[in-house]
Amino acid sequence: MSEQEHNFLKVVDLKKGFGSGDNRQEVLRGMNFAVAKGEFCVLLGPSGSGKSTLLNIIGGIDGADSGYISIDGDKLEEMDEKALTNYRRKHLGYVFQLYNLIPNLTVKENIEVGAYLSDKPLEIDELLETLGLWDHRNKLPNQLSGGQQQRVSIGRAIVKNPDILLCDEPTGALDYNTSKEILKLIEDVNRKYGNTIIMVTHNEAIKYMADHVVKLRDGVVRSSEHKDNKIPAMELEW
Amino acid sequence: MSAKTIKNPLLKRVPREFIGDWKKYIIVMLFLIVMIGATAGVYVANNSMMEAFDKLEEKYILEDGHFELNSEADEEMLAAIAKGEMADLRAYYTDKAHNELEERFEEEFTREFDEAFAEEFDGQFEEEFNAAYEEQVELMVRDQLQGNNIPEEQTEAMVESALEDAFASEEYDAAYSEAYEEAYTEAYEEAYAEAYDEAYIEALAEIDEEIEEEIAKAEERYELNSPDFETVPVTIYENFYVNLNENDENRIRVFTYQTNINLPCIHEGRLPAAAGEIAIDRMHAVNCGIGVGDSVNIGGTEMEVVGLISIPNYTTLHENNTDTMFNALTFDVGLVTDEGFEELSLNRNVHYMYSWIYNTDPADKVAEKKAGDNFLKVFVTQVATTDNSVEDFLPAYANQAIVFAPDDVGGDMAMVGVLLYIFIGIIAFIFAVTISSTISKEASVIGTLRASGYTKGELISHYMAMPIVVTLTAAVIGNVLGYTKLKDAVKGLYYNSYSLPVFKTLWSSEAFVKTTVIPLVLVLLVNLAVITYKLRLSPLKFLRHDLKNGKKRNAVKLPNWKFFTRFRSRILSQNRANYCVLAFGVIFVMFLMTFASAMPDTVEHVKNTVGDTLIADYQVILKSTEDDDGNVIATSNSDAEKFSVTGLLYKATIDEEISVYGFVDDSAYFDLPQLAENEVVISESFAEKYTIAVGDVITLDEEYENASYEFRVASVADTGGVLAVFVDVDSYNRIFDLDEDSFSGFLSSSPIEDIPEKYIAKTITIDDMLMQANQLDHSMGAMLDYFGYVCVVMAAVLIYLLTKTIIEKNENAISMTKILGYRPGEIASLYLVSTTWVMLVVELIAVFAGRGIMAAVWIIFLKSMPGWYSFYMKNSSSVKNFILVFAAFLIIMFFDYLRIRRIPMDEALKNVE
Repeated sequence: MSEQEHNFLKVVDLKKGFGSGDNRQEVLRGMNFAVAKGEFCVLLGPSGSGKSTLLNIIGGIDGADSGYISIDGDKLEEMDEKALTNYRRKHLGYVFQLYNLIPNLTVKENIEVGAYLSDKPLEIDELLETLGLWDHRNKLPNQLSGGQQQRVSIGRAIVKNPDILLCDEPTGALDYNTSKEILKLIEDVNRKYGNTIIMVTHNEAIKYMADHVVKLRDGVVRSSEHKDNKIPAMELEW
Repeated sequence: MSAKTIKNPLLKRVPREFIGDWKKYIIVMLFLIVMIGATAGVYVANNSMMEAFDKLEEKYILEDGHFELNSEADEEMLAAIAKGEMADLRAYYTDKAHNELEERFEEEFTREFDEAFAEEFDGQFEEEFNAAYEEQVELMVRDQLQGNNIPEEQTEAMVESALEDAFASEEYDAAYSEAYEEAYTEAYEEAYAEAYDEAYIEALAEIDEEIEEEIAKAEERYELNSPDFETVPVTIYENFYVNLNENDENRIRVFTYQTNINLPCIHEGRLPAAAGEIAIDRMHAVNCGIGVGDSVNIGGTEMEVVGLISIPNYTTLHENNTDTMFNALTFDVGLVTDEGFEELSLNRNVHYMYSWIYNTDPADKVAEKKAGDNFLKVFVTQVATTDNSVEDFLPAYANQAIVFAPDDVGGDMAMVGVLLYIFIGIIAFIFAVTISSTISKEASVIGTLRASGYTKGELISHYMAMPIVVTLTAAVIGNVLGYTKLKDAVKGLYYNSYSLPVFKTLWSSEAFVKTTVIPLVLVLLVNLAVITYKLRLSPLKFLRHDLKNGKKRNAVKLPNWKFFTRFRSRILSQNRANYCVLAFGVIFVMFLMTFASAMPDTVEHVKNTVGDTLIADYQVILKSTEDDDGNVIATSNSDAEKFSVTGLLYKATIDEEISVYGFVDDSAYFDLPQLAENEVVISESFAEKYTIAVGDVITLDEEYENASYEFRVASVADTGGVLAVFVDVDSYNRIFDLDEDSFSGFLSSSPIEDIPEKYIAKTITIDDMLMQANQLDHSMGAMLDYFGYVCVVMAAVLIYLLTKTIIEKNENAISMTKILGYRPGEIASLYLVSTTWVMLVVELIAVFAGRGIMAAVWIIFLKSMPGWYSFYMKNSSSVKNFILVFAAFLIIMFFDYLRIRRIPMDEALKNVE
């Protein structure tokens, strides 16, 4: 792996605060770490540790006060709104805790919403098989379970074959078994398509399936650990 | 991986969105279809009619004007007029006068000379002869007495006696006669020759002087010496008519049908082919229930109606050109065959009317006026050179029966256009509010899409799609309806008043632009502004449902009210934007309802008040101020007063005709203040319409001539709705370069009955002023009532859509209150009572704001039409509008209550998932 690939995503001295004066709250206090290309990276930390804020800045939907993030050598802070939109469009996939599916589009059409943005989208029917949604492809979101909806949401994110898949507590609203299925799906996607995955979670167990675990607390990186002995998602227990 | 062939999947949402909320979109679409359809109908019908009016000249060979003579013109006269050249009045008059002199002079002179000569000669001869005879007799008697030595006393007595005997003798008579014969012949011949030449020269000079006077008058009256005169060759066609009674109750003007001018358009049946057949005006026939095949009594002759027609020179049935309104009820025109005309006109007063067509078609209105002016010169000079006389002269552009309909049709289009845009404004605004609410509801999805890389532009386009699709679909359907059914409905409206020819529907780019492009652009702009504003936030804000730009404010601390009151206050506060929108919408609708009420109220007000502000009860405008004998026309009415009037143009939104009045000093009809040079008084209507204030300078132009006048406004006078400028007669004459004794007619408080009708161009009375108001009432009254109810429906739709938005926005909260155990009635009272508060306040504001805005828009609206009516609205109309809209609101509240009842309890839970 080249140096460039090793430092595919770099977070350098990143700081971010909200409010002003006495109400000012520093959420990110100077974060530094790097994620390699194709890596499954988990950002772990309790509520208020700044992990979602960090993910939003990586996703180009929020800005830092200082420091920077570079992706494949390109600094996000140097991008204007149009460039950031294009960056999200071409390089990112987003999965949220709430699925935010379009209620009056079918499963397949919701995935097409993602595919439309890409010049090289994945084969949708094949993806529907991979996601286990083939039989539900013509259903509307309100006819699906929470887990199935999250699968659609993942499908929508990865169908454009993004360089980076950002997952913000993707299992936060799901039960244990469904969560494991979703984690397995993300694991499979990472393996199959080689996307870099950055997942925010407060679930300690999920770190065992990651290549790289970044622990956050009070706005700083407490540890950044690369792991060799990953445990498959389906074997995780919490 | 697949090559990119995916169409934007968001597009698939549009039809589903439509189906999902079909009631809302169908209502909006129906409104748009009706409005666009009606407007397209008006534009298509009116444009087609306007086109048809333009083509009248070509298709039906509409006359360029007509004139009427006292007796039938001979070929020579018509040929001379047709050449378009003025007659040489001087040569004609001189030649004619000299010939007449030649013919009568010798006889008259000899008679007069003989009488005078004989009298003078007889007296003189007798005296001279008697003296010579006396002298001769006396000499002879004295010679005889001298030889007889008779004393002198006896001699004198004897001479006297001898003279007496001699004068009484036969010899004296014989000598006298012989001497008289000889002397008379000699003296007569000498005196006659001398007097004749002298008298002839004198008579010629006298005649020439008279001719010059006559010519000067004609030159001045008809501007015969104008350097602008150009020859106007025309083609002249006979168009004789007789005025007769129709079925004893109506009047009909019967012409023979022509094959080369003013061709009839046959609506039903055919043209007459026999003497007993007649074709009559379609509109009149409909009004009187006469059909083809019916028998009508025309001037005592029973005739069969074989056709219903319209003729191009009577598109409105104006009996006289001075009639303010047409009359299709009791006046008719009809066509018969030559034989039929001969029978009908036998022993009747035939009107020798001749129509003309310019051999070179005038390029425009100005050229047409110029041709008309020139032709008038030709006509009057040519007629003057004959024994005939002029009864009427009327170019087409001044013929009400020809120009009234196109003027009206054109004016209506302007009004309908304005109404459409107001409606489209409301629809655009309803869309914007609904979409704004949808965007709030779909904040998470929007945030996700934006985070995934969808651009703002793509999302704006997406949300713009529905209003565009709905408007476009409605525009297409509306236009189709407009071009088919509604066009016919509009056509029907005009065909119920006017005697129009059949016209073909023509594609009108104006109709397309005004009913499709402009509504689309309006909807697009309003929605683009609102959607762009709503989507201005960052993806993160959408994901967090934080759709307020700026800092979060703390909740307003409320006083220690009851819980329900505080709850409702919170609802008011939370939905203040929606309520603002509702307020705006209700004000908008109330504004339209104000229009629907104000129009008839104003017309009624005009009817009630116009009499109080009339300049005079009778304004008699003369065709000419001199009668046929050249005497100045006068009236014996003691209250009559001369005045002058003319029309000038005020060029603003339209070219407005302004009457310029000149009043005599100390006029009994108008109290003019002391005016400086170029100062005028203007009518209140003129000032109001064009927001002209005292001290302003106004410019008025001649309509067909290149002349303009500037006046400073000295004061404003209330004069019953006329758009006018008032000056004293001296200023008037100076301004228009007229003689000091020139005038246009008489103002009078009583009818002027001693001026022959043929000298009167127009008499303006209160009826004429009211006729316009009556016609407006007749044409628009019912339509405005209908429009008022449409507005109430519009208000209901608006309230329905906006309260629906508020309830949908609060579905979660409503669902949650249900979960908490609130009963639907309680929940409804929370949401609906607060809306009712708002509605009451908003309606009150709307009633006043509607009046205020309407008063302002009234000026803009009426500026696009000729004439003026001051804005007036009854208070009871405002109350009625308030009640109507509130009733509509209560009905919608009932449906909203049902809607609240239907919100399921899992709604709140579903969205938290």
